[in-house]
Amino acid sequence: MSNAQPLLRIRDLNAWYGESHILHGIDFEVNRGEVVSLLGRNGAGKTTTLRAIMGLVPQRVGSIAFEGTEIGAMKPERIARRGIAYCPEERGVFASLTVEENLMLPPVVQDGGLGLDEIFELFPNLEERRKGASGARLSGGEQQMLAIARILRTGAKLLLLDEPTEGLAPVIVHQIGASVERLRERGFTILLVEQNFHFAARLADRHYVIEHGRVVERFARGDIRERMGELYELLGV
Amino acid sequence: MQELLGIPSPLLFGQLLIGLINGAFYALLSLGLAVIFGVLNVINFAHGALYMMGAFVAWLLLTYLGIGYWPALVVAPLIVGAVGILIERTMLSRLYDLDHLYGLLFTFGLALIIEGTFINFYGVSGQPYAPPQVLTGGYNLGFMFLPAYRGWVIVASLLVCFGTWLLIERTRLGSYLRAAVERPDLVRAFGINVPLMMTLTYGFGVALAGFAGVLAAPLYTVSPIMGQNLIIVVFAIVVIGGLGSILGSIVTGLGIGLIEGLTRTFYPEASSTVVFVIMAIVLIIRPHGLFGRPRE
Repeated sequence: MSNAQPLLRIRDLNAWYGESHILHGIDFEVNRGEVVSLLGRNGAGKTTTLRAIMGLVPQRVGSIAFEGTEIGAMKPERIARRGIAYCPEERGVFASLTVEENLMLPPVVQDGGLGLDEIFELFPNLEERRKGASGARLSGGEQQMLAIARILRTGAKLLLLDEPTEGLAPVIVHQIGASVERLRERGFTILLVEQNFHFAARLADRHYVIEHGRVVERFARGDIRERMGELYELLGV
Repeated sequence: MQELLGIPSPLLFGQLLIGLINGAFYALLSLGLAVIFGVLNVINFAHGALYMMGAFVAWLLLTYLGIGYWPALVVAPLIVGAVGILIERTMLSRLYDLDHLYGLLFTFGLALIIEGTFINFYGVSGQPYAPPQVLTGGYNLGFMFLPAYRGWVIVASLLVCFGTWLLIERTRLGSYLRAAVERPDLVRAFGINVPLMMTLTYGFGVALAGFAGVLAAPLYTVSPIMGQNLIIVVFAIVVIGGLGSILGSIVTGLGIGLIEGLTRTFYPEASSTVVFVIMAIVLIIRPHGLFGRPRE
């Protein structure tokens, strides 16, 4: 894989919210078919990195290349149309839409997305709740599943998942982990932001640790056991 | 003569009919305001001026091009909608990142400019506009006389209001709009062109005002200031119904029209203030309006 072009390649990414400079030159790659996690403490810039990739941070400079094309200056709707899908930390389930409308909201941007039957196989709870009158009536875990499920239909190749386990019961976390595993087998490439290090360690092929808006360390899946102490110190676990 | 609650019944029903007609206009206009506010977060003070523009375009089409009422009912809202799209693209869209107040001040200034321009050319006295031939005359309903054109205004307005409600609450496009009201950034991140949707929404909202203007042309004289009095009441209705609520603005519009009609029958002195009294009461009891959700 070393000479293949990465699916996503980020170089010297800087981003600002108003006056505050959040990202100070982020560099990393995600290869096709990989699950990569961004780890780091609260406020390190992980969510901002995902939002910058999606075009949701207006003030950004540096290079973001997706399939070799520079997308760093594109608007969010054009970035999405190239095949990147985003599941935000706060899930973003719409209260004024029914469960089904929420599920069907993101337009299909490319071929190869999951069909509804495959989605319901992955998240059986959603099929039961499908006729629900409002997305807001779902439990936290169901909302998280809905937020992931709706971006699987679109045919996007790269999924950006922001803290999919936050605030969820262990049994739900386990179920979401199993789903992410299935998605990897199905050929999706996943960039995962996580606070829950154990969740990320189980799923990801590689990890980047972000601190003060920079990548300060990288770990391959095989390294983790040996370098656990180092990692715990970086994450302040 | 028949009496109901001590009021001659033709008088009562006559006032209720006028109330329903006014309510039909209130509903159309507050619906447009609600849609625009929901999606663009702009309080469109130019709404009354664009309503007037709809009536004037119908009158101009007839006077200078010989184009009659029925084509004007379609063409005039399209023209007003196109003007709206031009306004949104060239000016209003530059204000979204600023405080709400700027959008409000801009549309208020715009209303003064549009009305001032029409006053400059046509004065304030008003131009007559005849209803179409088929809608002259009327029907004797037994308890009252219903002029055909007034009946048509109520039917047309209800159809357009209901159609808009269906479009927003029951279609895929409507689900995009409702989602964009909640989280425009996230909807863009799904690949939906939200800026384009905002432009078209403004165009659609003001086209509804233009449509109301054409409906109003044969009822009232076509005058540059015809929107001014109406729009104040319509804003009160939007406050009562709750900003951004589609169904709320329709129901409240019709309801307030009827309440005004009843007030005119039983206590005429209060007929022009009753809407503001209701607004004050609603603001005290339910500050986000009868149908509105509290905004975070």
